[in-house]
Amino acid sequence: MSTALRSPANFKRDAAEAVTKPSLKIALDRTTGLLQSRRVDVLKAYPEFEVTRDVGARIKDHTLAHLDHYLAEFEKNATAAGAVVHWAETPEEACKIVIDLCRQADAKSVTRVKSMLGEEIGLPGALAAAGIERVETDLAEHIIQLADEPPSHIVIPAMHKTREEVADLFAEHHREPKIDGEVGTLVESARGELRPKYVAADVGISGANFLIASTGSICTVTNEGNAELTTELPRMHIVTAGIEKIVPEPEHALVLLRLLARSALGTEFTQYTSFFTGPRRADETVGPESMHIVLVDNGRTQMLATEMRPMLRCIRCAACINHCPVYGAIGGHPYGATYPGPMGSVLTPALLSLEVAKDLPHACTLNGRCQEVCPVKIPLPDLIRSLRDDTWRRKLVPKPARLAVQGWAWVAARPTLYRLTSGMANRALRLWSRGRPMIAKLPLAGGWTQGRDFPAPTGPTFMQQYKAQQRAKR
Amino acid sequence: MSNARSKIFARIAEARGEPLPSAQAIAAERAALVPDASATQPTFTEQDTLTRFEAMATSERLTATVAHIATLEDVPGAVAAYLAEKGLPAEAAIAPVLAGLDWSGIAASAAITPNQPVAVTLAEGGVAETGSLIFRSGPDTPMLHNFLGLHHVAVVRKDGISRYLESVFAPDAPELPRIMSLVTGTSGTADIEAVNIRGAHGPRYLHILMVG
Ligand code: SF4
Repeated sequence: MSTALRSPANFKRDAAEAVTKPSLKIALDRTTGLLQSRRVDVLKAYPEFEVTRDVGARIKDHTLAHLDHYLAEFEKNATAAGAVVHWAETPEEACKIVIDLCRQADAKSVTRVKSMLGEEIGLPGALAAAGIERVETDLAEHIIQLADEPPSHIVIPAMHKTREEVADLFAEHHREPKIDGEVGTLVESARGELRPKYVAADVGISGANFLIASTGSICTVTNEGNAELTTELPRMHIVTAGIEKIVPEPEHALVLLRLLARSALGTEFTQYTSFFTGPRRADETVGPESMHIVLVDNGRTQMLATEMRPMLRCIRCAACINHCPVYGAIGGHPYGATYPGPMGSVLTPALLSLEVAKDLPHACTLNGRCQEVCPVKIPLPDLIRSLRDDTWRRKLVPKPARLAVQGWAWVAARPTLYRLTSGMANRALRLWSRGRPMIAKLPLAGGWTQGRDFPAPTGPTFMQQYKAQQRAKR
Repeated sequence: MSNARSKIFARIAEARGEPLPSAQAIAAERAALVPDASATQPTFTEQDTLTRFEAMATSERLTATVAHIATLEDVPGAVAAYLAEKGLPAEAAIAPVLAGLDWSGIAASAAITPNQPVAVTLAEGGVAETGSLIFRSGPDTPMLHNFLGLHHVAVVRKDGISRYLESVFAPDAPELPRIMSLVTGTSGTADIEAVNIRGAHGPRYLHILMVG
């Protein structure tokens, strides 16, 4: 799927297509399985996790409740350190600011550190439209840039690619490809390819994992060390960040960092955690001559006013994604936007519109694992349920589904009728299954059983069993 | 002041639906956010600070190696020994802060090149909790020296290693430099099939010289 053609409006079509791709299933199983077991292992040595989750949620809630206060404090301190702070309400405004800055720096080539906010505002496309060469330095972003595909995961954007597929891409695009079937050799190939580009870039663009109000610093975390190389060599450093990234003080970032690394990759700490405060200083001979921080709203202030507000606590760790059975079956692309999985099903309707993203809140089994693992305790299933209500109230649910639910509600409100019909359905399903535990094809639900089996009832209905028991007691 | 800024601030105020509390009230609530930082810190009571630091840094995931030396004067000798052990030529980029040591026997350069094989730098300190080294940018401690080399030899004084991350930002810590970097092990990536690989963009090898 190329970057330009995606939309959450195509969710059903793209999800149906995704479940039929065997290489995708292999890639997803290899990765999410590892990430889940690493997370469990690292948390065994961190019994403080539960308490820290509460502290993390409290820090975020406090900051969100006084967001204007902390944004003003950040702006004042960042400006005092020599950075220039810009404000953008929309993705278009944000991209325009970045492109104008690049032009001002006479930039031909920019290097970029992975930032989901950059993806959210469509920065890659804006740079291309402006004729500015973009070099993605994060390995995964480099892979999907070569493949001309959008990210499918927020921490590991190339999660949908197997090593074999990456090898093919590098063989085609690298000047001196190194390939021998080992992942390590592929990494070496990318290192060699990207190194000269760091030096040649005119502007380095990064995101921010945290904005620190009390110091005016931005904090980035990477495992590769590409943030520092990307921002230290070019003349200008541009940061794009969502306004919800702010925390009051560095110590608050530390608490959230303890949660982030463990939840994202199952490690105690990320390899490179850097706090950048302003551009090159008078006594230095290296570093960017200017630093620009573009703070982006794009729907966040609207979320503040609704029940979606807790979603703004999100620290983009992707634990909810890694533990989502729906994501595990279809990968990130069918979600049709920057953010996939449970967090995406909540964010995308807020950032785009519920109309185009109406299918996302329904692509959820409400199993609750996302909320269980979320390090800042975002009640994702509640938020998803509330979005489902909205799709119902705003009549975004398709007619047949509405009729079916209304019909069910009508029957369910009449106990005798309900018992009669559910008893009949139960018998019919048991006959149809011919004693097998799963039903592979159901009449009238062919679409549903195409990608999965339907469990056959293992006995009479609950009410029938209950009555039989009561009779036996008498 | 841009139009976007005032609109964003107006919407935040509107969402709150009540006036912003006084700065004092916000400060009081802020001070109470983390009543006890130790509740969020992993416990390792059975290990002293230096043991934990070394164990973390040399763990399977962080893959650093460690050597112990008595004083800063021993750094060039320890670097020479490392180069010999790895079969590397006797040359290295040396951070200006360490240039004053006696580097005879090693071709020491002040400048660093994009494909630098070996770089030697001085850390301000370390953190036992995570096995991190703390680097501060400055004219004598340029940040790129910590990132461009394939081999990074980092010098750290044992008395600069503290137990928890919070010490990095303690009230008595010096003012923030332009970049403060916590370097935790070697550069790595898990981007292909979540397999952990060393040496993505930054150093593939990290050798820590613990002084004191
Ligand atoms: S919603 Fe929670 S679990 Fe999901 S990415 Fe955000 S912080 Fe992580």
